[in-house]
Amino acid sequence: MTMSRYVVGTLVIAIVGGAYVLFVASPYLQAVTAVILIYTVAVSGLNLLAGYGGYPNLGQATFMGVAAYFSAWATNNIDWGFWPLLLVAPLIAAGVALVVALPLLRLKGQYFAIATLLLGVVLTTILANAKNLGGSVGIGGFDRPGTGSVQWLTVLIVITALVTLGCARVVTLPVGRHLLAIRRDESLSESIGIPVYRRKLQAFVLGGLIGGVAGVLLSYNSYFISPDLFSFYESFLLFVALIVGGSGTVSGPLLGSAFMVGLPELFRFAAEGRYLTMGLVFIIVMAIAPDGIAGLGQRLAASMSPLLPNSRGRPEPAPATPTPMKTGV
Amino acid sequence: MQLLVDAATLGSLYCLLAIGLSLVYGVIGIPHFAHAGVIATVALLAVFMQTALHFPFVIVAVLALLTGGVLAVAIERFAYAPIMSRNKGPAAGPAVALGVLLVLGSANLMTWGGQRQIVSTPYSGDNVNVFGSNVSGVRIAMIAWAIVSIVALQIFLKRTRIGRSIVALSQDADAARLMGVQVRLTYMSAFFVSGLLAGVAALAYGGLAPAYPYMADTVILNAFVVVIIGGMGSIFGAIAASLLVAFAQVLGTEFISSDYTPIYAFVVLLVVLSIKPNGLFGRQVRTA
Repeated sequence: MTMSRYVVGTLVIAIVGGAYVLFVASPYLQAVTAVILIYTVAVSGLNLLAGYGGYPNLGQATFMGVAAYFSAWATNNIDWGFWPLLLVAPLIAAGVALVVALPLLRLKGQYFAIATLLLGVVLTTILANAKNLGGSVGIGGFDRPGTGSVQWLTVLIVITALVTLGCARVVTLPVGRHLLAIRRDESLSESIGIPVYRRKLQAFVLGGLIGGVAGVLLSYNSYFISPDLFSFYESFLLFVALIVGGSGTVSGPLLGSAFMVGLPELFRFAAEGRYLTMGLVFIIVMAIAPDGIAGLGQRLAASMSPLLPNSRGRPEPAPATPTPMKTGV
Repeated sequence: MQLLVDAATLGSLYCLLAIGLSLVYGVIGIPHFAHAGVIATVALLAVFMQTALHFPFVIVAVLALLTGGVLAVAIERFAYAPIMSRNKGPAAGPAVALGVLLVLGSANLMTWGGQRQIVSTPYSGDNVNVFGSNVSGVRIAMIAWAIVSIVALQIFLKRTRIGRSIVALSQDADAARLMGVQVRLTYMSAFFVSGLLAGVAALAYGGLAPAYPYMADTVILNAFVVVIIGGMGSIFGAIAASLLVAFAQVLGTEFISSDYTPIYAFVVLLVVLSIKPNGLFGRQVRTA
């Protein structure tokens, strides 16, 4: 039931929003939308383990980088074109995710966050020293499919919609429900027979795969890529987009990406103070809406229509509340 | 010999940072990335007090340490406390901590600019002869600062009431609350102490490498590697892990390539985790 709701919702947003962006919006807004959509794809992949599974992964941009640089290499050496790369490059990213997951998934909670953060440091260091991939300057050579920005934007809209629906579908499968259980209580999940390690691995690798898709899209969108685009700082921004949008929700990635990409655009006039303002706004948003924009929307909707509690959005409404924080003094 | 001194200096720095980080992590469960921002702020403030106000070093040091403490408490109050009190869980912690780091970094950049300046210390020009080779005073000072801080922290944690409250909270928060530990006050004192440690690190490291808004951002990641492989709450683990990471970096830079310096700490992390998943001296790591 919820699945059909997601299908309808995604289609409505994709068609209405898509029509507006394709035919009405200015080229500037179209360019911003393209970046938002690519972010949405990356954050959707991140959402699997970090959102539903509660494992803070601060390395998503690394998998984008692997796929993007593979596309750069393939484009310049074998000349595959866009579509074959869109299939192959994410698989490479997923392969890298599988290899790094084996040691990293031994870590729990925040330790996992810190270790994944280092992935970005490693990747940017390697790329900056890879002379045949452009070193720290970067590399180009991408040819977008289709003839114009309208066609390219259509491709992005369709892919984003498909990825969003795919992730919504995954969550209704056993792997998704198991991830929710792991977020609630990992040891308990383990003891009632949930294959915790395998589920985390699946979510991590699938997340890396989707991140790879975003990486290919990003490299074709910007024509030119450099190691900075995939540093740990970018991973952090993706993670923030997830948290701000609402982790563990279907609409969260889109809302958070729009926030994270749109906000700096709004603050463009502030030049140097941009990141300062962004950081402050982010901290304030976290204090007001700790479960993100999607969560805030849900709470508002719930308070306005008491007859329909929890009728939409998040599959598992109540967040875990171990012990209320008691304030001494 | 020079390599040995380099590694010991670097190891002392990592250890100094790691004990501050694990102090906070133990109490509040958030990876305190903003520690790097506190360090940079204090170091830049120290430079300002020296170059513009011409304060003597002792006053600079005292003010710098206090600033670090107050800033850390402010971070706890305004950024971490709101997400803690709503039980947002593990996801928001690192995000907010990095957000604070972003704010501090850009605020520093706007206030002081991006130029790199050394914190001058009374011992900056001195050299000490250790076993026949010249070692600069700032390196000796780095090691000395670290040892003094570690010893002082141990005494504080074991002998004072507040210190024991911090230990109790990090061992079992619920039990500590039931036993009447004043949680609010303990949080604030843990952060104040972490700020003092950041201040020490700022003065020691700022004398060694130039201070600028992002001076500690990569160093802090290595310090986190130390926290992970050293095992939480184990002071010997932290020391051993600091030296291990520092040696790996110094040797790697010397004998393999300086281009890949950021990677060596990660390699150490992977190797240690493959052999001992809970770290060198770790108990079961904390979940969530």
